[in-house]
Amino acid sequence: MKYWSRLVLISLAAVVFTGSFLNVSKAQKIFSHTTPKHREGKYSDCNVCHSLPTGNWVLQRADKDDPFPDVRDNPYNAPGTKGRHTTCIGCHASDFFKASFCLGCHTKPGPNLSAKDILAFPNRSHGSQFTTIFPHDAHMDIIASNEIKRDVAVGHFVLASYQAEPDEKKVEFYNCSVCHKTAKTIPPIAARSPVTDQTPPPAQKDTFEKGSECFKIAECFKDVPRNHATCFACHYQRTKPISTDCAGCHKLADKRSFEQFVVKRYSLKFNHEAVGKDGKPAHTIDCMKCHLRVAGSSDLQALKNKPEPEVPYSACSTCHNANLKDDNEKLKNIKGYQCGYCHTTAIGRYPKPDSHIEQ
Amino acid sequence: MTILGRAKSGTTNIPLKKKRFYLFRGDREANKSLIDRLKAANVTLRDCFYCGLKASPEFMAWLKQGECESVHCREITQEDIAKVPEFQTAYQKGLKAFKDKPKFAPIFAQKWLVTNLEPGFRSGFYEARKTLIKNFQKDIVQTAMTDNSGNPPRGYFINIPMSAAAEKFVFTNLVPIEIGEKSYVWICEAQVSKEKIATAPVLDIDSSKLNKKCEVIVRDLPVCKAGACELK
Repeated sequence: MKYWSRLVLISLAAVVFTGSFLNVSKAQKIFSHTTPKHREGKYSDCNVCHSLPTGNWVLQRADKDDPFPDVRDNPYNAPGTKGRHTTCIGCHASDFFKASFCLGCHTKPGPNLSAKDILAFPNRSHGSQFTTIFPHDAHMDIIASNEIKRDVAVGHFVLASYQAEPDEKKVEFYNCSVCHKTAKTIPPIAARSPVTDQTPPPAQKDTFEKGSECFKIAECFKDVPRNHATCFACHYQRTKPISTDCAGCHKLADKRSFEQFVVKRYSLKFNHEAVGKDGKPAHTIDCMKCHLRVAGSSDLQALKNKPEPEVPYSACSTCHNANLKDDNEKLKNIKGYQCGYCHTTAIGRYPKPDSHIEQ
Repeated sequence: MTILGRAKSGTTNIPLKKKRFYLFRGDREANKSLIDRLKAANVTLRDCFYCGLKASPEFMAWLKQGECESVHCREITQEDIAKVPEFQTAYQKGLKAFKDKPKFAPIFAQKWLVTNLEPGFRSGFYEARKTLIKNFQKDIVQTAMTDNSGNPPRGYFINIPMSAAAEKFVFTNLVPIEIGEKSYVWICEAQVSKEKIATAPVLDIDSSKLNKKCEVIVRDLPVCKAGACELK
């Protein structure tokens, strides 16, 4: 018995002793920007790892956009250095012999990997660790034109003859559509749930379902910039924040987000390209007529996360008062009625909020 | 609160499109120092700003063609690049920057032209105006911009944080609006209540006809043309 106890103890000591010589991997399975080592010291400068543009920017893009100078590769060599894996090797030399480390950027582990064996960048399955900083108000101010006729029209009698006006091309001024173009394909859509403690009744069957208007017309929706192309047109260099100042537009989030791009609306039935009874576009007059909060927004995240709708009720009731009155009457008089003129019943089942003041 | 974006001039209404207005808490008396500072403010006007940068007559003409305040107002076409020396210089810089990718060089030299312009021409005018607004930043409750197509254009202050059921606010455009040969800064008082949507007083360019709740700071516009930056 004594012999066996001694053997177990010696074996345990041997395991502990051997284990102490093993390298504990400093690398995570999924690279994280939030570890102190990855965001302090020289690594607080994003350009230490992300050089812009990467050599492969000329290749066809996964998002089908036209190629433009961009960061399109996993960090490989630190800018201005030659050699292999210089970005990571300083701290992770010992990890280069571990398969799990290779798989952070490569499709398979091994010493003889080629450019083809690199994972797509950015890797969507790793989620995003950043939120976007964007002040709408500043951008709206800078694209504003000073559309006031400076010359006062004065009536003079002159000898005149008819002359056709020169065939000048109509000048298109920048507006919201610089960034928010009409969608070419129907984006993933969902009803945006109100922030409330109330428990509404279950949603009734909705006439707005697959096959109805905004489920089959891409033009119901506007697109948002989903890569750097739009921003770089003005911010690639010299105009701050420039393309190498990542923190100028990207803020490290508290947690990794795997949220997919989904257009969430309170009023899913709204069609940006709806045609009025007169056959003319009914909603395309001017974005600012309805998207009132945007003009005063300096914080994109606050704008997105505000419980109040971006388009206030009054913006709709200006033109749709009769329809909304009808909905409101039904709400008063029909028990269990769920508003459905603007909303799907997923939202219409909630009690009418204070914001829906009838004037 | 609704702002009707029109300046009344006699019987004529001048639409004030895409103009930003700022909201301050309190009546005009409470905002006396704001008004005094606005009266004393040294304001940069568009033509004088670009004139100070020694902008070419072609550049000034490009701006004036669309009454643009900056180069970010509309697309810069190949024709514009050929005509305007500042654009031409920036375009050449762009070609040089992407010279190792000849297929893409002309595309990005044009598409990203503003990134190669001289600093003042890129966003200098906007920055200059921002400096003026920064002086009042901490007291601004909310901002609103008038739309581009309404008759009259309208701007809205919504969900104004209120400390009582009804409160007085002052709204102003802070940055002078240029009309004809003069510039105008309106400062108006409005009562805002939780019960009813308030409509702001009419903005008249004639101070004698202006609503009692408003006052207007009128300045003559200096004549600033390329190559001749002088006051009238």
